[in-house]
Amino acid sequence: MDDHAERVDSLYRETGPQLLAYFGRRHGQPEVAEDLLQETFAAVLRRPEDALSAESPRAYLFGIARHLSAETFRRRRIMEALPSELPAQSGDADDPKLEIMRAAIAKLEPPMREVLELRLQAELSYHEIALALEIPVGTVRSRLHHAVLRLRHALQHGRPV
Amino acid sequence: MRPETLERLLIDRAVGELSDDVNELLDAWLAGPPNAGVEFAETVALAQQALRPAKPVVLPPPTYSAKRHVTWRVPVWAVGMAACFVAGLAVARLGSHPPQLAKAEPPARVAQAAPSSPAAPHVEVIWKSPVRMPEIKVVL
Repeated sequence: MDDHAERVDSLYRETGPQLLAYFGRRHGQPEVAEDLLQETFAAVLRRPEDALSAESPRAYLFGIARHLSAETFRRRRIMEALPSELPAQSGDADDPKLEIMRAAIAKLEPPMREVLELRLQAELSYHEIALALEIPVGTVRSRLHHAVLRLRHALQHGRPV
Repeated sequence: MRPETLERLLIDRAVGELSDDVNELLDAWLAGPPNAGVEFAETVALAQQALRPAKPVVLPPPTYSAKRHVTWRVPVWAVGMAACFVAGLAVARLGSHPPQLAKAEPPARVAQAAPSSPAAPHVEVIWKSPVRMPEIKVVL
């Protein structure tokens, strides 16, 4: 059991920052993100062997994270919607291309945007994203391709589509 | 190679999902147009930059061990099933014991008055109808 706890702690250190960023983007409020992060690992601790023996523990964690996030949206009785704007970082404000990119990402349909974020921000592989979202790898690839094509189109035309 | 296939491979490469072998093949194929794929790589790099958290992520100390036993929820379907079970039990119990009706004593057609003594005459009370007065017959 102690071995399990240690391994879960190690997972927390490795994957925690990515999960926190994931929750932060979806819910906006840092305190909600932190709470959901702890909830994710509390869920893992209930049956640690499931997470630790999973094909990809990271994908397993993101699967739990996604469900918890959706449940939080439901509890608050609001539509599950990703923020319509991405926060700008200091020093980026003058880059018009980045502004267009932020607007374009914000306009992507949630399934496309989720895959894009999991690949580019959480750095999950296609296979891990497929495991986390419980969809085929082909669907992951297709969603990501469509997302990248939309973003490229937005950059080419100087506005999101 | 069809343009769509090439496009898909270029996107896969831009997000780092192409195996070394396929990468090499793609490079060989792209030997002609040197800038092919650069656009996708730029798009992906820019998207990555846009998705970067505004503030550096600071991992809070873990508190999940304390939360471990706190959240214990009974699913709604389990509550529903339990309610149905109890209701079913109650119905079954009622069905096995139908309500007892008060048993009406059959009207005494003939009531015999016990003789008060062995020598006393025997009296028979005969009810022919519940709405008429009975006949009283004395048997000696």
